[in-house]
Amino acid sequence: MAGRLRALLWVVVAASLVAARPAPAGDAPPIRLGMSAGFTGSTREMAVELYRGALAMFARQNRQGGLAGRPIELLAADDGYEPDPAIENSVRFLDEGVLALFSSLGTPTVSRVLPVLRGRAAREARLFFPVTGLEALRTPPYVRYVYNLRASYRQEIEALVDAFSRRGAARVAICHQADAFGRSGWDGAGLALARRGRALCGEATFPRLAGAGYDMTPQVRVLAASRPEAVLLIGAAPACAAFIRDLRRQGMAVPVGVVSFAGGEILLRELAALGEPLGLALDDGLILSQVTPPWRDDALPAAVDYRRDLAALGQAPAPPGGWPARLPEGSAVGFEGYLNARLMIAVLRAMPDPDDRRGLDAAARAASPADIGLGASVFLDGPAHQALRAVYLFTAARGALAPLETVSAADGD
Amino acid sequence: MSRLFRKTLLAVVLVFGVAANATALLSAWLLHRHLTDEYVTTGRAIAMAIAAGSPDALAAGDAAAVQAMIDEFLHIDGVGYVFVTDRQERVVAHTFVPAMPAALAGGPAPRGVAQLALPNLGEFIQVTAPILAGEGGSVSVGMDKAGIWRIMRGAVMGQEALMLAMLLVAVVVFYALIGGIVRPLAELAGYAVKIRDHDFSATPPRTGDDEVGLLARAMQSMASQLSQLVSDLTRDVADATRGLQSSLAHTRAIIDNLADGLLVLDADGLVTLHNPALLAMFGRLGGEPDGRPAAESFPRELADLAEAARKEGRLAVAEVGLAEGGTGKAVATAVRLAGEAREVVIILVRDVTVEKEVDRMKTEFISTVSHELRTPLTSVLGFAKIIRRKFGDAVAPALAEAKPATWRAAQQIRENLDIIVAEGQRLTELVDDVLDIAKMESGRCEWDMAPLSLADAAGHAVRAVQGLARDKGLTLACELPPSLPRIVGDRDRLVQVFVNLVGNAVKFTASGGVRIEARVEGPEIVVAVRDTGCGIAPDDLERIFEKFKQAGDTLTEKPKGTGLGLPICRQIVERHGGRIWAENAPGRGSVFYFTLPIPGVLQEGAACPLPAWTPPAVPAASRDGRGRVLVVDDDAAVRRFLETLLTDAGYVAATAASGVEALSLAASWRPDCVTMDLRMPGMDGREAIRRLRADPATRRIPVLVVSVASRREGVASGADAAVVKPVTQEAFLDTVRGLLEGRQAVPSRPCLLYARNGEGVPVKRFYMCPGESLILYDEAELWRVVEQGFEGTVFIPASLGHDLDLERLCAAPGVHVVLFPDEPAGRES
Repeated sequence: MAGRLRALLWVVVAASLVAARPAPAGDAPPIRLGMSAGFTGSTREMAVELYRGALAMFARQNRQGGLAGRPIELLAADDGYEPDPAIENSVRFLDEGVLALFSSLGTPTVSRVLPVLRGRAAREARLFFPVTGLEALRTPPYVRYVYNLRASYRQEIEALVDAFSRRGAARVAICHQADAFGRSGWDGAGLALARRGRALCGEATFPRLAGAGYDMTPQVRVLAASRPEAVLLIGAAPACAAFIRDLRRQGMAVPVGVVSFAGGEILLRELAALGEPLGLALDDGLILSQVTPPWRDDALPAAVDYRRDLAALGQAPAPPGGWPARLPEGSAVGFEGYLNARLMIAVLRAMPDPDDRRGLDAAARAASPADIGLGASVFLDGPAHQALRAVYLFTAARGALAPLETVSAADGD
Repeated sequence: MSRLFRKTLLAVVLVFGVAANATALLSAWLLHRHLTDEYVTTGRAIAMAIAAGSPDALAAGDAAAVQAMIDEFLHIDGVGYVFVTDRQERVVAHTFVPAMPAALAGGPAPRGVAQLALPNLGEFIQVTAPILAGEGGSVSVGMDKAGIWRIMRGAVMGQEALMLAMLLVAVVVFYALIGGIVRPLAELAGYAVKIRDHDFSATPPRTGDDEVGLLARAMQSMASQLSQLVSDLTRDVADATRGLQSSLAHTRAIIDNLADGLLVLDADGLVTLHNPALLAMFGRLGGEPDGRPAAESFPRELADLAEAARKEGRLAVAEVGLAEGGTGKAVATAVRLAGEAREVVIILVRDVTVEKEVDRMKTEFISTVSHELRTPLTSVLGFAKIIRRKFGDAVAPALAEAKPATWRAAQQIRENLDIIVAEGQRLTELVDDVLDIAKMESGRCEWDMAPLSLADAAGHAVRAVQGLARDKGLTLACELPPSLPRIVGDRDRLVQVFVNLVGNAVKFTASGGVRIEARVEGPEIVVAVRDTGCGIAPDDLERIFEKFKQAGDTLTEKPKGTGLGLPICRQIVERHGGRIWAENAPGRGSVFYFTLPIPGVLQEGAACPLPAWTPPAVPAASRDGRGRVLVVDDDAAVRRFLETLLTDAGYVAATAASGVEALSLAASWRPDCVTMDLRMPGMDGREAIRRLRADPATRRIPVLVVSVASRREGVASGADAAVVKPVTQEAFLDTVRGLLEGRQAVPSRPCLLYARNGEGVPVKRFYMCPGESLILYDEAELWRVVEQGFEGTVFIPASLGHDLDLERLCAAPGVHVVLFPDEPAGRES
């Protein structure tokens, strides 16, 4: 805890320095947003990419003078992908007077922060664009306090099951993280299959904090007993990579579908690292669902901006745990963070007083429709408070994501 | 470390161990119970919390929210798993990795508390709580019992560690405490051990004023007293030992310088003491005989002697052969030493080789002298008798008319002749007795042991003395009971005993009579010869059995015997294993007793062979009316004497001085009988007899041996009969007559004639019988005599044989039956 606090303080100081340098508006108080994510553990790479993407957008905005002369400051805190630190971080952010919580990462963490938001309803605590497809964020009672950018897991899984279905895989088994994230995937799979008159033929779980070294053989065995024709995999990148490795090693060549939380490129890198010593191409037969369009798409203004702003980030405040040695050119997760920040700025612009949280809901409504460079306007005022509905399916090709198809999910709610 | 400390330490460790383990076990049990209760409580609380918080999410179908909630509780200590089912019993959320166990997924979870054992997961206490009273489903919480065990283990180990630490502290404290007590004690013990080992110079340990110090001082005082006591004792013992050693040396010197051999045997017959003289006597040089059986080192006789002394409890005497052919006299005494339960036997051995030799030489001398006396005595006595008879027959009648002086002279000659004859006879008896006793003592006497009847021997003796008794007007009664068992003995010698005793009794009895009695007493027969004579002085009762000792004053009284009769009797009786002694009541006579042992199993000798019944030879007298007798003797006096006897008896006699001469005469002259001396120069009698027997012409001539040799020797030479010099006229002539009339003149077997009452006895038929054959007229009497052990020949007239049980008679041992044809009664008588 102390370590985390120190990291937090360090980040705050660094962020202020960054913010101060380009800020034309001298000593105007910044608009602060709090981000709690697992900067350590299995979600570290995701969290860093997410943070970097968001920071790229905020830094550009700050370079351009901020919002009405006030810089936007992104406070980052590490929760280790654990619910309790996440709650503590969130409470602290709110107590410290951030405008809102922003881009919280992870289903088990965010799902536990929801009651905090509800408990602080009187003080208008809001969570903007959590990086999770949890259904509870999009349904009452909590949908009031949350605004989402991305499609839900149900939507992602519906797309994956649909893809399996179209490829003739009727028997679908699931292997999920043993927590709320995994359960939401399990729930979505059950619903998706039920719509097709089927049920899961098998299920297995693995611990939330399982890393790439975790032995998934027991899980593979459990699933193999149900003779699946396709496997849904709900988890973070290292665990997913470990499962795929052990699945292939057991000789099961069935297609594997993973949701966006697995991290796209991050998963591919993990798989490459694991497959190389074994001599296996572990990225074969993968279907990856993503909630953002391909970030390399030059036809997409947001994608172009993202890559440009990311490159221009320069010496940005380091996230808790510092910067990794090698930073990727970009990622789907980073792009999601960038889009989150872009929509956040749109919301902030719509606020008459960026220090008054009570204006957030109105601003969110006022910001819709908003153009965040995706070609089409997005709306935050739907019943699910969800800006995007499309699910993009990818497959792996030569170590990179290759677009497969785009499924525009129906608005479930 | 002292034993005391070790023992106490062990006890402490044991007590601590028991206490620690008991406490730990109790704690563990209490903890287990408490934890189980707590787990159930915790599980119930969690289940109820989830049940209370999950209805909304369940109703919304938000499994993820339920999962998020139950994940929260998973971190609570002891929670193994949680799962939630909806109203359709479908598992909505669970915490199992990798999958929910089939045992739980199978059916509805049991309500309340259940104990479960899940494979690969362990044991759980599962608490299930309903959601909305079951309407919304149920929550099950599995509390991992491993947690209970882990906590218990930790608690017990902590407790044990604490106990161990306390034990260590206790041991250290204890060691310090005990050290203070034990160290002085150990030093004191060491001091005590030194005193035990008689090290009185040891210094006592330095101790304080406590009890140990008191003990140490007491021990020191005791040690000094002990030291004084021990030194006094040691001095006393040394004095006593010195005295004892000198006394022992004195005794040892005496023993070692004894001329006699000394041997001491213990109860087991092992040698305990001996002296050098003994070793020298038996020629033993090396080897230590002490502690070994006497028979290993010394002659067997010594061990036997010791055994005899021990058994009989009195002196035992024996002769033993010494080394280098010597003779020793061994005397054994059984002694019970004072204060000892066991007996020892002390044997003294004296070398009597020289004494024995002197004795032997003396006996030999007497024997030789006696032999040399006999031959002239035969002549002297014989001729004296002849002279007396002839004087009486021829000279006295012629002197009837002579002048009184001549007649008186004749009378004096006659009286002197009587004296010569009587003294000659006495001299002969003396020589006989001396010879007998010499032979017996020298061990050269031959004993002809055979089963016999005492009554027979006594009867024989009575007959011999009958004449003397009759002359003195004494009654002579032989009252031997017929039931007397037979004994084994030399018949002639036993007859001699009877003759001596009865003769003595007759000699010393003036009036009254002599009675012979016998009775069985235990294992022996006691024979008593009673007289009514003058008795014997008490001092003489034992002395009379010594040689040449007679009762009374031999200087003033004329001796009435040789003085050798009783010693001979003693020799004979003792040789037969009996005893002889005399008792008397002066004035009422004396009694001579002797005993003879009754043999256990009487070895009946083969019945005497029945002499061949040879028909009576035609009397030699029939040729010229007179029998021819050839006298062979190298001694001219004896030749003359025998020739005179024979001629006087009406025989024709011829003489030969040597064996060769005898052979030629026997062949040419054809005598009817030959008297033969055995000891002759040149061809001796034995050889002569052998040659006579070898010649068919002379084979049938009966031979009578007349010799100083024993009768047995005479018979052994092959002769038909034998008489021993000095020859008495009657015996000689009787024997010669018997030989001439038949072929067996000397009675060797008793005869018994069974005759019809009143019938004449055909005396001539019984020449083979002794003069006084028994004649019985009653059949019952016959059987009684036979059953009493009569041995011999029973003559039965054929006419009576028909009525007798001859078979029974023949079956009687030692009895031969001769049936003879009846003769016309009274032809001879």
